[in-house]
Amino acid sequence: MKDAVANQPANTPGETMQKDPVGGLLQVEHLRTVFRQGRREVKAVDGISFSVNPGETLAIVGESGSGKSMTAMSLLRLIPSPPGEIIDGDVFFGGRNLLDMSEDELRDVRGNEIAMIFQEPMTSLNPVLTVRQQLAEPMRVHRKVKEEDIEARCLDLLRQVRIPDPETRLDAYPHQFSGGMRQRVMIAMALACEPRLLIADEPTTALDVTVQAQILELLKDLTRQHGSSMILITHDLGVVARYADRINVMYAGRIVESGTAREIFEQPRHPYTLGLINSMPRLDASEKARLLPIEGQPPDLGNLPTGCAFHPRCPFAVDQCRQQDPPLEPYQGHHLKACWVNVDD
Amino acid sequence: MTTETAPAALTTRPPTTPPLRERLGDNKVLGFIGRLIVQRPMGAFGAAICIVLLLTGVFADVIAPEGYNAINPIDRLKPPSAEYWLGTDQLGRDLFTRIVHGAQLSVIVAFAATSLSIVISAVIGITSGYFGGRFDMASQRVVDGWMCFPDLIILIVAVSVLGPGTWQVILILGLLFGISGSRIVRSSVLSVKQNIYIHAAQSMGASTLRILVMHILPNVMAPIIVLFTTRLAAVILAESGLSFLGLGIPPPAPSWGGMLSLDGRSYMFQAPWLAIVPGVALTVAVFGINMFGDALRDMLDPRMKGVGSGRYVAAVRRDRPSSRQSTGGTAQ
Amino acid sequence: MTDTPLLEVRNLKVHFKLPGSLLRPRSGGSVKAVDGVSFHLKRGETLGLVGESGCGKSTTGMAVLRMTPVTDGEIHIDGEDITHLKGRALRPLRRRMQMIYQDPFGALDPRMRVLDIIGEPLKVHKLVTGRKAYRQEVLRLMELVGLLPDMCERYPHEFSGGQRQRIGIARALAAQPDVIICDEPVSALDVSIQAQIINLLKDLQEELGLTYLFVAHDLAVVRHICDRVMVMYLGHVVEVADSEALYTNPQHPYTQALMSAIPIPDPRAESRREVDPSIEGEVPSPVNPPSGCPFHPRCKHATEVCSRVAPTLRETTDGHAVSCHLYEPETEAESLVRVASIA
Repeated sequence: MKDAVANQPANTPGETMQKDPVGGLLQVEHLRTVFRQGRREVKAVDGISFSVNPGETLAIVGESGSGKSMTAMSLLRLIPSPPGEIIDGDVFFGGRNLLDMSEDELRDVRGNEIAMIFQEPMTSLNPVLTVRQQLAEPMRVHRKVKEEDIEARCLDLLRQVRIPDPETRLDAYPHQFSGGMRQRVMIAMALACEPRLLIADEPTTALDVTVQAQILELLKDLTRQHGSSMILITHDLGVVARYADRINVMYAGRIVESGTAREIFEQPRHPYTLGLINSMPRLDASEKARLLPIEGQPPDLGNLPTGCAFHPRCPFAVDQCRQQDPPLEPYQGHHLKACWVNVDD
Repeated sequence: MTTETAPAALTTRPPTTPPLRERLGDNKVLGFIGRLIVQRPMGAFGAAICIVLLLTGVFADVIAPEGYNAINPIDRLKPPSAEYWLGTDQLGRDLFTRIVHGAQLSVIVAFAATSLSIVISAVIGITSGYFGGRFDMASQRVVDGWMCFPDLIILIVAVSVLGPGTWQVILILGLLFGISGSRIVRSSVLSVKQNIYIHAAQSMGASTLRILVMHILPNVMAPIIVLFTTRLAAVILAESGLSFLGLGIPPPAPSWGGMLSLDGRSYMFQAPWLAIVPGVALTVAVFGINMFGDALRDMLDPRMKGVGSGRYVAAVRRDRPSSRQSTGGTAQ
Repeated sequence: MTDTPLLEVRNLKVHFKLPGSLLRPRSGGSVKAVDGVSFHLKRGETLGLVGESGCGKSTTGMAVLRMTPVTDGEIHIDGEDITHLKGRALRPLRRRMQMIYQDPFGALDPRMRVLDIIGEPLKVHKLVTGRKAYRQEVLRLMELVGLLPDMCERYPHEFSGGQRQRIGIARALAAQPDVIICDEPVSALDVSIQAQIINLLKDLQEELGLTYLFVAHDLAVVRHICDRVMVMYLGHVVEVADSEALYTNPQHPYTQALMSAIPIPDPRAESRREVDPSIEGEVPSPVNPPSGCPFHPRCKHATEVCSRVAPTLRETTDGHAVSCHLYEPETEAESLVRVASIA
């Protein structure tokens, strides 16, 4: 592993990174997280770098096993350890490195400056506490809000997430809410301390389509209102197209392409991105149009092929792809891709 | 002679013999034993103990042909020696002979009673769990009722009705453990029943018997095997306990429990080997069975198969990149 | 195509009794999971059953399979009434209808080899004799769904989600069924694999003339495979139409809302679309459904009538039927044309 870190070529800041010293709210560099199972080592996140600007929504898109959720968990050091371990990298948030912080310092960031929303609204709320108790928790811990102000603040939050009849709902228990309402409560909790960064990990996957639209619209409105940034982790390209400013496409623990939503969807430059877009069922497709799937099976993270991890499934693969791992390099401005081949439309 | 045949045997072997591992992988039984030794050394140790126990039981008359009840009043309470390997008891009977024949008795009782109990557990547990509803309700209340009585009371009553003897002990222990064990089987059936593949089998038109035998039973085998091995050990202990209390197999049959209680206790200070030897025999047997059972449970799960052994590992090694050049991605 | 539909469902009702209290066991009431659903399915056709959770789409599939008790209504297959078949009489039916499940991990018995999983219907219905013929048939099925023959000795856990779904499809094909009920067959899969499976289902249909009842929540997926689509809400059919008609001209406000809620993976197309956030709230509990039209509490066009009178499914244009007061015909006489016959 140490060798691999030392071998890092072409990644010295300045060469490939357009570092914005003032602009970046969150700066992730060479983040590397592995899971160990006996002698097997699974590279869940394999040396990725990206940044999030204030007020923007960055989507991390990928399929299961691409490392998108592990990236989010690594940012806040929520990786279960063992078997997981962050073995390399820096995560700068407001000038401080989250990976160097003590547990106490980090606790002050979690839920306060960076808040997380998870996929499962059923299990993310404590079933034996009322909504009021759960909402008040982060305010008491992080913001030292006065007891007499807490109720008003809680009601305000519930109104912001558009829960009808907040006065009576405040003392309800999670099981008395529907799935969508629970996710709204989760969002209210995440917003309680007005975080600068919201990490939403598949926030709507467990919900119905109409409810999904409501929740995503809500997230969009609220982040815009508060001027906070959001990292939206999802497998759904449709959601990304509608809500993301910028997109990182991940495959086998790497970022394979990065750019604005327009760039990614209109000029995909990595064969995987292209494949994903072509294989996505579309509501506006012509009748019974044939989808173009990506052939082959998803990669086994414990046993990745040599060279580019995507090459066994890639229709454009050349010899170089089988031998050398392509670095993530600018294709055009801030549109980056990790591919040896020039994919044209 | 031997020096000549050995090289001959070596040369007759085909020169392109695949490595041991691969050959083992091709034969199911040998492959299983190979995996057991490599992955579960403790389990293999337990298996060895079980095999020794089994062989001792089967060949008891060959190993110790003297007869377990051969009295020799001259050599009473002799300590272990070259002549009497484990010493003699108060009647001058050879303790080694008695232990060997006791193993035979233990093996017979343990396997018969445990097999009976497992059949009872599986039948009650699977039908009760799978059919559910009123049948489940009724059968579970019967089980409840049975379990309200302390085991010892049932044993004492049953022995006083049926009288002491080998088959009585088998029947009573089988029934006793079988009914209580049905709970464990039933609870796993309840969870297996929820699986979609059961629904799939139903919807494809498979008969109930087929579903029970082909889908439910294999998927509750893990708890049944654990049940079998823990019960095997428990039956050996229970049989010893019964004999210890004088309710089991009557003397002069050499039950380990009986030896422990009658002779061992009475002469504990003059001849401690009378207690130590059957005690150690019991402990080793129970330990070996438990270790083997745990290993067996894990090995019989197809999901565990191939992990860290055989061709699978070879394949993984072959495909693993020797050095993966790593490059960090960077995005603005 | 023949005139008699392969599968015909008339006024299907599936109600589940809720457990009551100890003293009044009947006090629990019932959930009307499916409440008066009619449709038909022609040979070689794919009908999509679409709706959100709790709309009764899966229950409808289960009822057609006769895996859940039918409260009322009729199910005909090839003109034969199968609603009341019991026990042994159900066995031949089980061969004629097969199911593909959502969860590729749970649908295969982990203790069985692929060879035994795919071949189980062959054994159950005694479709082949002899071990050689059996193995040959299983290998043929495996090839059909794109699995390599040397995989047949493996166990399900050695496969990825997409491959397992292929195994499930091969199993469903083994009995050469008339109808295959696909219950969300791709919703648990990754996008790139989803497309593989959708294409596979389409190719198999073309090759073998299969008939699918395709249950799904995602209208976008349904668009790529279905000839006709039926939209359900709280146990009722709200709209049914040919695929093209439904997607170009959705009539029921619920169908419209459902479509606007599904994002299109194209930012340019997205920015042109009007996201309609007017659909508020969530699907109400089927234990206590709203009066009148079940959709009226969430409908922006709802009038006073909607909360009182439940609309019936009526044909508006050829083959396109809607259950909504907005499309009520002018006169009562015309409205008596029951759409069940065409739906």
